[in-house]
Amino acid sequence: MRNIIDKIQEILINPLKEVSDLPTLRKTRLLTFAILLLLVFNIVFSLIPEALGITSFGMLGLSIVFTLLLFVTYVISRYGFVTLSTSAIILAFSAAVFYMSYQIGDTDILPYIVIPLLIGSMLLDLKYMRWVFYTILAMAVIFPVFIEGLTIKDFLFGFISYLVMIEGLVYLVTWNRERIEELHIVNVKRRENFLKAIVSNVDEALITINRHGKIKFWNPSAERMYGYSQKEVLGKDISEFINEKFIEMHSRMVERYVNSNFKSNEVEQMRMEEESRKGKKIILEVSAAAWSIEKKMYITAILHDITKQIEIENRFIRKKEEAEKLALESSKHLQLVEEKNVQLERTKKAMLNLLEDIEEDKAIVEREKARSDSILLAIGEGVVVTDRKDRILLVNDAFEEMLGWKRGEVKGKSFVELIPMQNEKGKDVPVKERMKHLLLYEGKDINESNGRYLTRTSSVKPYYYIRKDGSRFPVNITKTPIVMGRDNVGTVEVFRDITREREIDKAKTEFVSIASHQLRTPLSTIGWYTEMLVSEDAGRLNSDQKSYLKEIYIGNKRMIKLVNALLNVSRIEMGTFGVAPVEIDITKLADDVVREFLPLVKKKGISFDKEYAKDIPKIKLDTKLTRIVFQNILSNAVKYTPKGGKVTLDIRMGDDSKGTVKERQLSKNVIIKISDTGCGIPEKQKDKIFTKLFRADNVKEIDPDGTGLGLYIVKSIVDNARGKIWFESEENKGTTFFVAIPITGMKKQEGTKSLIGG
Amino acid sequence: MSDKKEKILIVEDEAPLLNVLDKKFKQEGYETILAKDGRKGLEMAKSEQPDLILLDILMPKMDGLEMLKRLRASVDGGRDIPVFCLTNLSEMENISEAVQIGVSGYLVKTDWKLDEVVKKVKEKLNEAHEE
Repeated sequence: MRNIIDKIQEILINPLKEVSDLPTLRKTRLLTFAILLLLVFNIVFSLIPEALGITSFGMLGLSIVFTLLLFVTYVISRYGFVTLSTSAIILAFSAAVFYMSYQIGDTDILPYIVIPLLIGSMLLDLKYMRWVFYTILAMAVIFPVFIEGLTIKDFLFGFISYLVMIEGLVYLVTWNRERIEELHIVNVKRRENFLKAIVSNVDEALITINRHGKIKFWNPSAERMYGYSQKEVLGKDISEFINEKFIEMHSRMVERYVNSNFKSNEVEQMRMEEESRKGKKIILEVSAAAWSIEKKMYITAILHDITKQIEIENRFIRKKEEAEKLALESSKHLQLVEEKNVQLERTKKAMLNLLEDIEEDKAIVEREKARSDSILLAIGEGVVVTDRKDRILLVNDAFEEMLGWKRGEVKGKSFVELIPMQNEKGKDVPVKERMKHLLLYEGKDINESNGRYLTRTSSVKPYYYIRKDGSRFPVNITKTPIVMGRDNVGTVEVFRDITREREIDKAKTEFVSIASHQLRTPLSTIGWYTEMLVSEDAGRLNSDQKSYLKEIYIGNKRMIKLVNALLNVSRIEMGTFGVAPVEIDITKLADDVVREFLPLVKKKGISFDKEYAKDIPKIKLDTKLTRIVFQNILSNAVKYTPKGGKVTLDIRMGDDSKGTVKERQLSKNVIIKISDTGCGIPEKQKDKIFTKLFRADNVKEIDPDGTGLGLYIVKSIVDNARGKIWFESEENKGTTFFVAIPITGMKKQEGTKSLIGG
Repeated sequence: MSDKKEKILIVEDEAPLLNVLDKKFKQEGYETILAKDGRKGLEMAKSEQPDLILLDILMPKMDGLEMLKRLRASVDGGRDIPVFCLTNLSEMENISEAVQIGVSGYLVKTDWKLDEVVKKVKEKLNEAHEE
């Protein structure tokens, strides 16, 4: 900082000093000086014969003294003491010489001594000294005329010859001066351009303001940073553009600089947050120094944008913490299946982030490399990092354990060739297919999906990796390319042995399957026998017997319903229910379900209305699941609405200009609205309504048979379809359920189980 | 209905259910033949050539789907006999497997009343007659 200020000062204030050091000029000066000395000695020695004859040696000594005086004057002039004082001395000496020569009585010598003296003084300040010179010349010529009675002819000859000689010298000196000035200008220009180039190209904003806060200089970086051009700001008050902290600093510096009598050399440094013209928040590091030129004071500040740097620092700290946490978690390994999945995903992410950071800030990551390496190696899942040609760069301990290959054996080898992969049927997955399937992305627009491409293999139909010894195990693989800018520079793969998970999964599946069979078999026995009895196939019954049997039959039905719901719940919780979307007309499906309910609606004496918008597109939905959603909500609405009440079904597209606030946010969704005028949901229990096995107090009285699973299942289905479900309700007035389903529809989901429609 | 009674093979390992189905279908005027496992069922299907088979899936010795597969593959008759799966397995994979092998219907026991099962069988047989 100080350096830059010094440089500016030097360039602006001291161009002459710089120039005088130039070798060419020094030469010119020396040349002038040499001519002068030559002239002096020439004059002095031309006088010697005459001096020997007529005058004393004292005169010669005097002339030597004057020559020395000339030299001293010249030396003094180099240090810049010129003008009046010098010329006064010279005049005094000249007068003294005249007086002495008058005393001696020989005036011929006078011009010879005085003239060189004058020429020398001319060098010091031409403009001024020229007049001094002419005065003395006049004296030198006029004195002899008075004293020795020289003729006018002699006088004129002398005067003109000296005049020519002196004017010649004047010309030489003038020329020299002009050269100096010329060079000075060129030099200043050059310096100026140099300075300009520096100032325009530095990343830092450079701002110079005067002591009153008026902006004097504003470089292109400042334009970029603040969004104001130099034109807009020059001469304006700094407080219009820069925040208060800076203004405070400015006044502080001005005060200090003025108090120190323009000598304070301190540099102020600070950090401030700034908002650019476009409203972007930036963090600046500011250094400012005061300087002055001709008693005018300026402050130059350098503003360095460190927003990104801080961001990177912060991000890195976050990443580091994340990674450390993950490493810790990894060591706790072997937990529940669900946790594993989440962990795998996060591990993946953290690693990816670490690798991304390599790109963002190599220097920082270098420092952290050792740390991240150890994290990588400690992760419980198998990790393999390859370059873009699939050569293995790094594997961790888990990789070694799982595959039986040692680190040293695999480094640099092609991963897909080294570790064969099979599908469930034991067929090798071709290398080409694996590269295509897992590495790929070459040439794709990396910016899609935020630069993240995750390929994950399914747990339901897993692939198998072959160990070194030829045995195999099922894996769950997550693989991502390492993307830098737009280039794919390699891949990271994390894989996990899912043998045990699969066993657990299988056991669970079998349990549910068996349980469903075992529980239902006796229920169907009871059901069918009761049916036989009630239909009096086995003989007539009295009315009591008949009604008792009916109770048994109803109880049995309830039991069946409960078993079905419980099975659905267990499937939902295992995540094994399948979704098979087909393009359907949702209003047709709704009509189908409504038809099932119409007899009950009639019997209960309530009215039913429906309204479908015309612009509802066909959506890919799983018919069975969608049916369950309609069935459950409609069944509740009908069940809990008393005689004389009303149930309404309304299907339309979400519209950002219509409906409730929530509906308006769902413009790309089909919104199903089912309203009733039933008992409503008690205020206190609203937040529990989607909870498994929960039943509101008021409905327990109306219908003691409910399972408390219907809405839980509905919500699970809606969530799975990335839809939304919510309700509005007032106790004893009614309830409206809203279901929003994205028009993108449901995603196909492999699953061995399907949910049982009710 | 023709003078000759139509013959229904019921394959079911659960005795009470076999019993109630037997009673019901007899009552409805059908001739019934019964088997308590898949192996027996396959034998009877081949030898007796029933008009329709009601088939449980989860059974000892040979399960219903295996029996169905073999029946459909057999050369000595039985390929075209209509079959209803009457079971308590409601897994998607069971249903789709059954449909792939070729069944006329897949009825989950707890969801169907006896009367409805009878109705379904009647419809199927009438359909066969019309053809």
